[in-house]
Amino acid sequence: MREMSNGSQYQTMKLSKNSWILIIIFIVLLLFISILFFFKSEPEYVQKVDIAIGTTVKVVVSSEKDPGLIVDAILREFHRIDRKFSVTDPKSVISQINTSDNPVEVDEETAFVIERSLALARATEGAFDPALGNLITLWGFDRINDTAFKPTVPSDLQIEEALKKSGYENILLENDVVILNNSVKLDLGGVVKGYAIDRGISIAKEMDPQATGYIDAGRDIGIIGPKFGGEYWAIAVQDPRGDSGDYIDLVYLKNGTIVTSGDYERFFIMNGVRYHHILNPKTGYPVRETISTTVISPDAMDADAFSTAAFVLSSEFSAVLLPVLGGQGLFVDAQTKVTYTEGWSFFKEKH
Amino acid sequence: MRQFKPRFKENSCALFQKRDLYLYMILIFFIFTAVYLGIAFSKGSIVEVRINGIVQYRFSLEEEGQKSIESNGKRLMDLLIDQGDVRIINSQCPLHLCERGTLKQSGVLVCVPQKVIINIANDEEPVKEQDGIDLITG
Repeated sequence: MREMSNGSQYQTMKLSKNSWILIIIFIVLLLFISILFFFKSEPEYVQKVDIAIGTTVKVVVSSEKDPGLIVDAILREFHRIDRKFSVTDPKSVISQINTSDNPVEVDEETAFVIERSLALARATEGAFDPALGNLITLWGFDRINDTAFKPTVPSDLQIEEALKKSGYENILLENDVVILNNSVKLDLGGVVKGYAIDRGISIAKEMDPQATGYIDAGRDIGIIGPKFGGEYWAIAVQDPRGDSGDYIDLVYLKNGTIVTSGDYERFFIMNGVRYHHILNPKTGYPVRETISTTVISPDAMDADAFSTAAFVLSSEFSAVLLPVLGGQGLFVDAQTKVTYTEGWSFFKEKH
Repeated sequence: MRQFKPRFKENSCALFQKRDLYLYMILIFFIFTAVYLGIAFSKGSIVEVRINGIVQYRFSLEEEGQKSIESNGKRLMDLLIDQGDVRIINSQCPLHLCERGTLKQSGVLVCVPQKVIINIANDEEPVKEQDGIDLITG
């Protein structure tokens, strides 16, 4: 090393050559790590998990704005919708409609959800039915999350009586006024989770049109935007008779929604028989022919209703009907045979 | 008594000169500090238990064994921490669905009826592809 001298013995460059090499390596490493840390090409995701609408809600968002704020706004919306459309909360708009002897004037949002539910019921010829409140209460599936829930199997006579007080044809909606005929009870449980996912995506897009991520409400999924801004989300379809995480198919989505109905979601076992929450609107009993249906659709509310309808209908019928309604589906029957709509294969590839 | 004195070569190309000692000490200090901070702030070392949205319990993953989770004097469930895995056992919920999963270095366990959420604190990598899968529906 060069020794500097300006009259005094001023020595600053006395480190060995190896030490200088070490210092340079250290600085280069530090710079490299800093660049990796601060200039990551992949956006960071913020996630929160909460409980709403009787299920686990996981929201994952990345945004150049404030992703935490977007996540909070989405979860607040889930709680608002939960309170508003709950069948068990006496203050909810659904309880008000169900307990009133007179026509009930509802707000614009409630009118929209009921109107859309009735349209979906008509489109699926009643396979999805928002007027099964009496039947669901009889089976107890509206209280299945209560710690005091004691499952019982209703008698044939009780089911027959409840069926008489069921059916979407008994719901009238005109000029935002709801009339329930024949003592039917409204239960929007079949679409509310989907509606909340749709609202959550809208909120994220309003706050930041470039936001990416997803909403996972009880494994019903709505895509906010492509992974890391441009990649596909790889979504596996749960094997209905496998362990959690075992899957039977894999699809790729950059947008839209994917919803699954299964006989393993809400059920109880009595005398060795599994009684699940998807009831056949014609018989009043849990559907036995199907064990799982998965639907891909642009809107989660539609996908929610379609997956229930496909569960009730035969897979052959669903495979034809679903694409006409704007969805694609995968169906697993009681013998674990898997069938698909023709367009399902489109989602099995990255395009 | 003869004192031990390390010999330092005067050759500037030698690996270890007397003046370099301070530099090496500083570098070693930096490396140890970085490793210590890395361990101290490593993700996934603390299990958080939220009841009704409020954090009520925090356990280290090192604290192996059975932990009782209570709320308002009522036992809700037990948490079993075993070799870095966390499971819910003896849950008081009606269907015991929450007892099915296992929480490893990340993820979440949820008991919907009792409004209990168990997750790893500072789990800041929500988008982690595992075996080519991001999410599961169903």
